[in-house]
Amino acid sequence: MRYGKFLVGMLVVAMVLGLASSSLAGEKPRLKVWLMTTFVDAQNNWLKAKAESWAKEANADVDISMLPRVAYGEKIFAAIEARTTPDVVLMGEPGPILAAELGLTVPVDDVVEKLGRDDFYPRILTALTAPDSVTGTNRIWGIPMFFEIRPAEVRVDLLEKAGMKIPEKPDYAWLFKAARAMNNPPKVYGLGFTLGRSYDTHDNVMALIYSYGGGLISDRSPTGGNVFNAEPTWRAFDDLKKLYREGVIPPDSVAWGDFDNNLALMEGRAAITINGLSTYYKMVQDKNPLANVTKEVPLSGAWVDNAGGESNFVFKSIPQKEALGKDLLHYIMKNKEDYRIGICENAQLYALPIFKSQGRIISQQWKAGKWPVYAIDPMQAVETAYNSWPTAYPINEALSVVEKIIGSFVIPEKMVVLFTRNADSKAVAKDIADAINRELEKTYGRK
Amino acid sequence: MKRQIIPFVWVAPVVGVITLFLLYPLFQAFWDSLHAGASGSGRSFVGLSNFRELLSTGAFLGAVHRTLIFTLAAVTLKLLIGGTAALILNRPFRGRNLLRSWLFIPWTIPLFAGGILFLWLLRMGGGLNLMLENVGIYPVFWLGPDHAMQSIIFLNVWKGFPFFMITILAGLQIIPRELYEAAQIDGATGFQQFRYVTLPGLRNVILIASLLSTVWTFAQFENIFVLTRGGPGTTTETLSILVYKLAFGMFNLNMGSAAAVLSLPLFLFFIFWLVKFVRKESEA
Repeated sequence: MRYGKFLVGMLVVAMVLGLASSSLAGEKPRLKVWLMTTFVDAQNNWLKAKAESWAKEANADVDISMLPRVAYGEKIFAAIEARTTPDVVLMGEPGPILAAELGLTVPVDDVVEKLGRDDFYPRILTALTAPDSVTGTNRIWGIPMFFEIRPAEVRVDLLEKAGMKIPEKPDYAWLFKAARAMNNPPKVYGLGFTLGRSYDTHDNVMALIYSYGGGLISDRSPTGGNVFNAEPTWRAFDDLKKLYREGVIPPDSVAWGDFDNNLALMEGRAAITINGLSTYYKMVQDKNPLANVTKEVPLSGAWVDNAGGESNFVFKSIPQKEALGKDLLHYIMKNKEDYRIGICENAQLYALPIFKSQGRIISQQWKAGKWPVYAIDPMQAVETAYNSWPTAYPINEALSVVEKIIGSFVIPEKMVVLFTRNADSKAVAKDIADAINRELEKTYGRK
Repeated sequence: MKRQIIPFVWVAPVVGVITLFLLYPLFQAFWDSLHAGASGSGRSFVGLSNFRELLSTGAFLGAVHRTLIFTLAAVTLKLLIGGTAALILNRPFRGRNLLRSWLFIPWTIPLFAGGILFLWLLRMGGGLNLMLENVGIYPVFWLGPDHAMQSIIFLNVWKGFPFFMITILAGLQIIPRELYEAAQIDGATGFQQFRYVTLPGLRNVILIASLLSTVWTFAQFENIFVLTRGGPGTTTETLSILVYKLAFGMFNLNMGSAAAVLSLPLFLFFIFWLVKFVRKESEA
């Protein structure tokens, strides 16, 4: 009798499972999508709507998780470790190269071809280019969502008061001169340059070093970081030290995080900061009167922008889902005009288009006076800039070591003694280069 | 047979939870610390190599040093401030209940929110410096290399002193009044009553509260991360910040696990004394 009940129970379970699996067989494919949100709601909403619209057209389901940056960073790494990755990441930073080097993502060269390779700015194509972990051939592992340039944000009212103007091709020499001219501590500091444990520090310091002809990583060997310990870096460090000691850079900048330079500009404590247009966007949203006297000045020559940061990429899973993921990436960008308006224009050009065709339209708009906040044509600057993470120069490839160096604030952490203890620039540069070399050896071995 | 099995059945869920959420992660961390590379085919056994590297760069020992300073200072101050507040609240006066509620507020504020609050207060252009400027005092760089450690200690003390206050207050309630009356009859002064009646009566409470607080303070992460991220430089990089930096900044879970495993003996040292004390008291 007891065994009879057991058998009946097992039969019921089997029937339920059978019904469930048969119903699942008729279900639509489901993609798990992680969308890392930026501070621009319009971008996040546009992207979410695009994904949902794609799902309708592709007769698929999307399960979208909107994740703020800090939460995303920890989740993606934990997911990579635990192999519980989503199917697709949209606007994700970091992750693409780390995952690619572990063989977890699929190359998207075919998506690039479908979108028109020649229409991409060349730097966008190298931003997430890295060797395939199996074949060694260079492949493209993701598509950056946009360029995020880092112009100097200048208080033109104070600049005028100091008797200066924005030249046709502003560079760092002009920037430092302008900063000194506008310096009036403790009310207003000339240059709100972040020196603390912040992503801004890495980007701004590397921009300066690149502009001086320097580099971060030259190759994947354990000496690839030696290029950092060179004259351009020493000069960049000396210049920053001088500005700090003169009181042009605020003394508390060594403790600044990611938003302190933004606040310094918004509160009128800094005459110049170097940042993405996030600050200006916020000032406009808040109707901050300083927005009317602030101009975005992309510095000519070499400076850094965030191509390869917020990127779209597809994790390996079953072929059906990989194909759907790539189709989603293509769908998001195939209507390039919609992309330009939804991602770039709605964000007040905090984001710039990755397509030349759309960049030309932005340039025309600027010439017609549509984006008065930019002192010079923003697309002109895009042509000459360097990529930031995860790309390093002069190797001009994406490396997970760059993601690690930035994520753990190696450069800001070791640099701070330049300002707090007047440490020797060469010694600090060597310390950082050694740290880079250790990571290169750990990640890529001794070859 | 059934009677022998039943107690295990009742205990099984608790053991399962402890195994799943305590022992397994501990074992996994130790296992990860002996390997290099991400999980999957890229992982290789490296023995004690991660530990050697941690100890050779000086980052770990520096973090231990800073953590000990932070913990010792914070726990001592929390004990003194919390104890003083408890002694004041133990006396009847008008508004005592209201004051007790107010003093308990920091304990109720989530860690992250408290960190953000203090960040806005202590920034160069923050609330505290604005107040100082209004009275003609030059702003202080509270989060700079000279004061960052004091700032995180201050935040921890503000957040944690209510725990001591409530615990010691509860301890004060159970000291028999007759002891104080007897002391008064014998002519003891207020200080002598405190020294010979109050302190001995609170000894166990103070010890347990201090040991618990030490363990919690030692592992403190949220407040420090929000306030300084361990900077400037490594000025406030405690063990918890170092573990986070290695695991999630460097994407090196193995090194992060190694740092966490290396700090285990220090935790166990405090827990050992706590358990020993509690066991001694229960035997008494």
